[in-house]
Amino acid sequence: MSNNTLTGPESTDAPVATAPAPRSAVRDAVRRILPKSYLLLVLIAIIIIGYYASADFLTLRNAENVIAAASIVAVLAVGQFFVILTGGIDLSVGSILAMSTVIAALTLQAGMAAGLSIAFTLFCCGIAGLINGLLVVWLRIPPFIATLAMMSAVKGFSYIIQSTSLIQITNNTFIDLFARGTTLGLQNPTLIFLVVMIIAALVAKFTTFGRSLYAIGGNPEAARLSGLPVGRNLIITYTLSGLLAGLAGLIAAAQLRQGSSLIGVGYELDAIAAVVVGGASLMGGKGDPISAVIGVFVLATIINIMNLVGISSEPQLVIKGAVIVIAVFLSSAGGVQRISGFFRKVFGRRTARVAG
Amino acid sequence: MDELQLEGITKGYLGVQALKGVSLSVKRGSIHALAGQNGAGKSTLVKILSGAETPDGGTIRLGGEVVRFREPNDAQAAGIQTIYQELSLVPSLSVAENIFLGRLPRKGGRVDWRRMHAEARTALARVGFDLDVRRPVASFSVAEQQAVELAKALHKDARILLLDEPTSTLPAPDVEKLFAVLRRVAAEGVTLLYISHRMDELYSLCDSVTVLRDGIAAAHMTTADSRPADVVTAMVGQSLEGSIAEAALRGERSPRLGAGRSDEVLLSVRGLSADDKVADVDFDLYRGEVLGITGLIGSGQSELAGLLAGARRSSDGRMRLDDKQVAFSAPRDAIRRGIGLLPQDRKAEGFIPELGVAANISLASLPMFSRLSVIDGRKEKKAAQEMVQRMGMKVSSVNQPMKTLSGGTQQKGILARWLVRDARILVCDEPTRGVDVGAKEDMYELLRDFARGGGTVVIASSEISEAMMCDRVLVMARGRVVAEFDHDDIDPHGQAILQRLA
Repeated sequence: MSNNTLTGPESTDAPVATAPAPRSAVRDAVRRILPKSYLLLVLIAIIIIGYYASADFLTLRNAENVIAAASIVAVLAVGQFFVILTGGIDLSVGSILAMSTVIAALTLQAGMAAGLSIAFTLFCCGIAGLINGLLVVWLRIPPFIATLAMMSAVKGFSYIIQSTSLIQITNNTFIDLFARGTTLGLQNPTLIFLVVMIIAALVAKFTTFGRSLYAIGGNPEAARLSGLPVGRNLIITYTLSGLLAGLAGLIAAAQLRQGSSLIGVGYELDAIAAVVVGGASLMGGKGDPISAVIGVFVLATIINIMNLVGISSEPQLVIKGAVIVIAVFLSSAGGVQRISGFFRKVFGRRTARVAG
Repeated sequence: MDELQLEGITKGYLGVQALKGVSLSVKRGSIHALAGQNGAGKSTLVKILSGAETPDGGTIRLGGEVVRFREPNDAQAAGIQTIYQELSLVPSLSVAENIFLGRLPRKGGRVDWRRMHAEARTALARVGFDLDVRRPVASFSVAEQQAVELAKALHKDARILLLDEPTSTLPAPDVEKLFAVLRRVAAEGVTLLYISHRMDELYSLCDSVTVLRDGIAAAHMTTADSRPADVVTAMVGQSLEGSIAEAALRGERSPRLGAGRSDEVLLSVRGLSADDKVADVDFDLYRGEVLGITGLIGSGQSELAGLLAGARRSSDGRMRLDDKQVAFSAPRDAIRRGIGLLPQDRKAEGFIPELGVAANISLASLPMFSRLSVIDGRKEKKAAQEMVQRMGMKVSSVNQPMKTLSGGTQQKGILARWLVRDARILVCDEPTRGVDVGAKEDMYELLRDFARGGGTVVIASSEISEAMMCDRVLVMARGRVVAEFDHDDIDPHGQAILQRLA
């Protein structure tokens, strides 16, 4: 519960915040979009463990690798977050990501300019998301089923249009834009996910659209009776998730320099795991996009450390499963309170006994 | 001897001390009432007695022996059975299966259906009902379902029965029937702890009352030598002499909510129907009046309210607002024309639990508080603070999550949602259900203010005393309007309305 806010990481600068500062509005805004959970501490703890576990961990090169790989799932997780915020789920994002790589590769191969190819790819992915939204809102198919069906249909569609095993991407403008290039000293994929995350955080916290998603997820009937455009906003949310999956696909295509319907298998589950690790509830109405992205990095960093110390991929999966359970227990199932409550009880009893 | 004795029960939640040392004792076979406003600690006490929560301190004695409950099973094993406001039956299972849930009788590894059905019939007969125990629970009325719940609790060898507002969803004739059953059960030696907001019920059923206020037992009295006003006074902590609640309790003429109607027809309804819930309803709503729509629960008044606010779709009929034909396909359409709904079920339809008070108040008027769809937080906060002050809502800040507030405060928050929007017509569906006495009076005062300021109010209510406070009352039965009364034509006890209900 919100008890986290009392002892969360940002409370350390609470004394500073009490002093009336001229820029308090900005600071207030920053503080309000920052995640209120222990997650950041967990991430820092993992990084410290990594530092001691492997000499290669805290190097610039390794950090770049982790971030490059995580940026794809981070973009997916932001879209997934909004869907989960409404109480839904989007299982089709992995397939849409694959479709995105295929369409981008095909259009580039056909000689289309990079800009046009990007726009066309995103358009197609947005349409796929829109269909998800229409299935959920108009046909009233439960989100799990609707997006499961889309996951299959989109995957099949990608196979059909791909026709060969994989398509190479050689367009340098495209590769620079989404993988190799740097802007303002940041690698482009890093910049993309940071921009996506910040915009998402602002939208979630400060816009009527974001507010209505919290309302829809928190109590759909109350949202409807208050006259919120529930159907329209759900459709927009699923479309957005499709678009962001398309964007993630562009990064993946540029990094791998190919388009293939085999890319992105299981990414939807990674994104969902990251969102719940970030403290969102699958029942909807809770969480924030920055926490979802931190959730991505918690999982990605742990995988990276395990790679560096030479744990093979099978036990990695087991450990990943355990991490998801622990993180969700700590962040959203009230684990911190329960553990501290347990200690208080034990110590409380002991002090009482001493006093008696 | 005292069957149940509580001594110095304390319970604190994060930052809130819900119970500050409650002591009470109840004699075997008596019916003891627990009264108190929302937030007084009643529900915490019920949770502790039913084993859902463990107390921080104090002792519970059952028949003289100290007992400790770590979970609901412990309490049930000790003979404390609880019947909650929301029934806890499985709708798709049969009556017999529900009564025996978790303890199906077996013979040779199989369920002994014959024995189960026979015993279920006996258990139901004990509470005075004769139902087909093989039919699913969902196919019975609320009153019958309650009987099943009661039979289930008694069948588990109840020593103590906790009843948390059992009549809140029950039609009036069934309430008497329930009371007869409860009196018989008490005579058999079962001890009853009865929780209700309704003073008339409390005084017709119970032997003694404990009033909780702010986590302490503020008063103990026997119903034989006290008046309902004494209980209410102890609950609120101040005298209610001359107030609406007091007048209503004494059965005097209910003070009027509205100032009377104008001659201008605001909304005209003709032949309005919805499936089989509302049939062929005609009426005119005049600007500035407070119109009551009453009837037994399930008579269609709630559905009619939903139709007026666009929450339900009509199957037939016409509505004219400001002399213009209107058809609402969604609440949005009605809201745009200045109609706001206070839904009956606050928790399921009224508010967003995780969002703060301010966000819940601004929910229906986000465009007012935003520019280019960016929310103006300062403006929103200011409007919310004004509303909180105007309505006397007890909140720590306007960002306090709605789910942590008491029922009455939540209801005020939902009302504030429409006031902040300057709604012209308020449609209130059971506006004071599950709201404590103090907040109830506040609600009436707010509605009166609204009507005085030129607003028009429709109150759908199954409580006659509430309907009697309106300028005009439509009485519904089986989905039809069967009678119409002017405020001044209603006798002080509402006999005229009562006769038309059945």
